[in-house]
Amino acid sequence: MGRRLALVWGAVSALAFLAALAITWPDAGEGFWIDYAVPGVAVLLAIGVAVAGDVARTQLVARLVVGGVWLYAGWLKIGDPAASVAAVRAYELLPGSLVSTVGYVLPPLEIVLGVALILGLLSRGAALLSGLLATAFIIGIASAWARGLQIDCGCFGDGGAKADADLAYPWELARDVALVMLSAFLVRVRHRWLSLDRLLFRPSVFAFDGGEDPGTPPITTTEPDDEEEGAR
Amino acid sequence: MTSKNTKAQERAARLAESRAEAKRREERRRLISIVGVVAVLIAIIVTVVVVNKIRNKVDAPVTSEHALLFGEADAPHRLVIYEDFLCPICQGFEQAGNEAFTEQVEAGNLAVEYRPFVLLDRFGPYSADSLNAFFVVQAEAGDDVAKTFHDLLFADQPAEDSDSWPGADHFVKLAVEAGAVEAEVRPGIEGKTLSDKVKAATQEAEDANVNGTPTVLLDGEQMEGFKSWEGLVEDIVDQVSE
Repeated sequence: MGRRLALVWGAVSALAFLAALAITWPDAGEGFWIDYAVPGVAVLLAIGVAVAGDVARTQLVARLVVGGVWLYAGWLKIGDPAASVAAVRAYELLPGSLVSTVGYVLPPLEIVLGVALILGLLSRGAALLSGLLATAFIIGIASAWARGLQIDCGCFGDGGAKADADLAYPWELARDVALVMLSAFLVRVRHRWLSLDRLLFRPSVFAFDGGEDPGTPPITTTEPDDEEEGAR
Repeated sequence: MTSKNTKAQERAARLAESRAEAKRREERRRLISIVGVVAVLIAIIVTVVVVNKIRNKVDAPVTSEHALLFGEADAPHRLVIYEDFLCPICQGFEQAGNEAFTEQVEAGNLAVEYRPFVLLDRFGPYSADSLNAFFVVQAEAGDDVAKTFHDLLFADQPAEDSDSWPGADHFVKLAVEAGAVEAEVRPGIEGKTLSDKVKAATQEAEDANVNGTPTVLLDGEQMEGFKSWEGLVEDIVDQVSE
């Protein structure tokens, strides 16, 4: 299971990265570093699972990367809700009555989501929400691009009009595609090495998870079904 | 033999039952923990949203000494616009609304009160310098010229992330184009003589919780529920021309 999924998400992330590179060439270096880093990390993690078969460490790094991106994005926006509302409005996608609320909710939602993923708190639910949110952003950015709007995606603060936005859209989309892929992996794989879920939801009566030494990561090859892991 | 078997079966059944019971309790405990954590997380988000909404509730003063009134003071509707000359959305709003608002002003339905202030000083000196020039033009050449100068500033707006900023000569040129006399406005623009007024206007906007530009109030009510700035212009014209 894990290995095949890794191939899929690695291939999709790599394709998104290469597509962005091809579309924005020769001005590919102008973007925000996170937009390059996330698809890159996604490909490396896919290799980590597919070649080394190390699901335990991969899920931890995936959680830290995806959670870190959300936390950073929310942190940059939380102090300036007016800018966040303006960034949402710039997409001209939501009905007027929702613009303000979505603008206010997004920054704290992203921070809570990021912290939950990093700490491994309700990881599967958080990963699901993370995937849905990134999908919503993909729809928003793609639609802005298709309608010829020239806006900053407002992902990490700022927002509003922006010159040369066409050069940024492919990278923003590549980043969000990679986020969806990593989120899907975190929903699918139930390994939770170093997570709060392990502490909170560890079955207290039956030790389903076989009592492995807590000091070392449970080295699991991808062949046995990961879903046997008791703690989610 | 049979009784022994039965006993063993009974014991196995009891064991199975207590295991099932423990499993149910385990499930319940799990469910309660999950619901509890979700509730706490949602409560955190809601609290932040509510606090941010309260902190950003615009409480604009009825009158301002740092404003430019376009139209008759006793017009039935008044549109207050807080703006920054460097803000691209303000420029977009100006482009979308200027013509329609001018029509409404000329029809006697509306007065537009511009309250420019400095919001985007993190990008450089342009916000403060342009506002100083605006106040100098208003003081030396009057409101009509200042309105034209205001429109020219937005029409000739530099990008937020510019590496170099237009200096005094640029503002003097636009002021003269708007109808000001160069000898009257140049000293004030070059010497940034109204920087105290710039600070006061900015402080007034901050005290009113204006944290974004443009912030638009029609008859004292902040305009919020609109999809786009073009949509807002339509809403305003609809309300004003009724």
